[in-house]
Amino acid sequence: MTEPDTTFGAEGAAPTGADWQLPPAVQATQRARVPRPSRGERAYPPVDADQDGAVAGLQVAALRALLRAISADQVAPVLATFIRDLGGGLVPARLADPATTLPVDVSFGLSEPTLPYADSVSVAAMRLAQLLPEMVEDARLVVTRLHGDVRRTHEATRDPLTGLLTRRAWMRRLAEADVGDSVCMIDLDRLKAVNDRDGHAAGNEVLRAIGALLLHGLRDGDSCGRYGGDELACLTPRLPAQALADRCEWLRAQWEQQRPACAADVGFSIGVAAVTAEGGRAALQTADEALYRAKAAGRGITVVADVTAQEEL
Amino acid sequence: MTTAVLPLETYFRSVRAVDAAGATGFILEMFDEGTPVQSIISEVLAPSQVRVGELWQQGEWSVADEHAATAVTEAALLALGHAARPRGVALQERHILVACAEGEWHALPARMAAVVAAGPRTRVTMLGPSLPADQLARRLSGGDVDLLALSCTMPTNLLGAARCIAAAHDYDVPVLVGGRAFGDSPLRAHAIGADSWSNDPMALLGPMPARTGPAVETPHEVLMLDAVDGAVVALAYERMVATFPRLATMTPAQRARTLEDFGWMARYTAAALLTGDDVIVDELLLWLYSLLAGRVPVEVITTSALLLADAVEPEAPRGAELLRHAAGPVASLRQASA
Repeated sequence: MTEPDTTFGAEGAAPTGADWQLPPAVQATQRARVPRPSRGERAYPPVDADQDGAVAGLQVAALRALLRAISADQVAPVLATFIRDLGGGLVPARLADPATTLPVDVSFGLSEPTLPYADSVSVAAMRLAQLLPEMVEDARLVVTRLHGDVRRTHEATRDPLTGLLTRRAWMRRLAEADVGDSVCMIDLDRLKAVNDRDGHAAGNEVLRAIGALLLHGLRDGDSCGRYGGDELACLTPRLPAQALADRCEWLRAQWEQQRPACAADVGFSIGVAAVTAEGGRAALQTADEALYRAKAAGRGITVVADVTAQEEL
Repeated sequence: MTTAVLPLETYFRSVRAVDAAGATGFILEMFDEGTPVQSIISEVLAPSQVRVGELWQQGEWSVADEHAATAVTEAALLALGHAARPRGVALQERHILVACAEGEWHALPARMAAVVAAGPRTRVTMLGPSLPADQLARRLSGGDVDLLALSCTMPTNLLGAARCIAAAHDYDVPVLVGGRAFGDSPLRAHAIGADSWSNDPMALLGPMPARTGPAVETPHEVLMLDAVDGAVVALAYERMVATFPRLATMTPAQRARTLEDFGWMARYTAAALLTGDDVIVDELLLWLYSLLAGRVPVEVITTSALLLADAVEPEAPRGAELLRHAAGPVASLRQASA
């Protein structure tokens, strides 16, 4: 069993100012491992090389493996296996000898540029030149479609304004909530006044800013969604309710420092609840009731609901 | 006063940072905002790739950098093609096969053409880089292709293009060719038997060209120069070292690159003979002159051409003549700069 992850604010692999000046190949080297399965490691079962039509068999096996890939990072190992089966190998482009490599990058931009190689007067070189271009094209098509799937899923599950999950996507996450997780409901106080006074563009700017704050202020595994017009909801796996409430207060402090000028009056009322054996939906209901009490108490506060007693922060 | 950032500049920042997701997102945003596919390609993606080539030529980027940057643009282009793909079922009236000539590994221009050509009534199949003519023939034997769109960016691959055209004509499929290797006129395209030529991918949206290209016999001299014997190149190299003794201190890697350059000269000469366009050799020597400016004296380039001419003359007299002729303009550049 792993320890609960209660760390916040982990930074992604965003490029730093120094990275910006590095040549592309060096940056790619630093960010990703070359997708080369070690000797003996295969992306699909071996084909009997003694059979008639063994090369055609290799093509079929590789294409079948491409068809079955469910993520883009499964594609490069298929190509690596195919290249090795044809008698070739792979080398990072920065180390490649033009005399023995084919100038076709088989990393698809997912890792460091990588080229196939074979002795220039070998059967392997002849087979690679003959068979690899179309196989690479097929692999590229698979990568593009898989990326398209990811993008469409993202578009279907993310609220375009805030970048948070849509209500439906968030509710699906909530259905998987377990004892030990926590949920919170966040209501934006006085957002309507911004819309009425400064227009909907200003209101949208406020929502975008809050979305960005939640995405950066919570952990990678936490789920934040836009539950309604100005209602947001978060699910934090393996985090006690009080720890989530503390984090909400930290978010409130951040908001007060960073909020857009047009949002000077906009604050949060927050209700927090722990997920119990009754499940995520029951916890959401409890958090909603806590939120109601926070609003009734004058807004701008966080209320933690407890299964036995309710206490105000 | 603030200056609006051009889309190309914004996009190229992602290319430089190898940020495929950012680059793809930016291109799809342009598409979603209504920018036509053709404009995105001609105003952002293609110029970006030209800039990548310039950075390589200036020595700022390595070949590996070029691969990393190209992968970003390939990802963005493919996502654009996917997003712009016509939805719904329509009767597809024609099927265009887009391929790169045998030996041609620069596939991005062909990919751009494939994205432009795809329409509700046109099925487009992209076959990737360097398609061997026999593989192409096998693909065309299905009888479901109305047009072969063949891309070639390097003149050294024009012989491979001629083989692909012949393979298509065996199945009575017309061929439209395009790409930098064909220059700015249909001269080279027609010389290798193509039915039509255009450097604008929009030509793929127009009427299908008729199958009118001539059958082309490849002269022996062209074949000899295209696959020039190592001994011939070695002879030219030895004579060059004798002419410029300080070149004897070259490292093995430098020697290998120099021999390779001789091979390129021979293959460019083959392309010039094949197409009847002498300019191909002139352009190569001028390109080498600009590439090596400040590092290699111009007389090394002109002398190399003359020594290669001497070495190939017994088997390729017309090629030797072309090489000698091309050395002249480069030598005059030196006199002008002096």
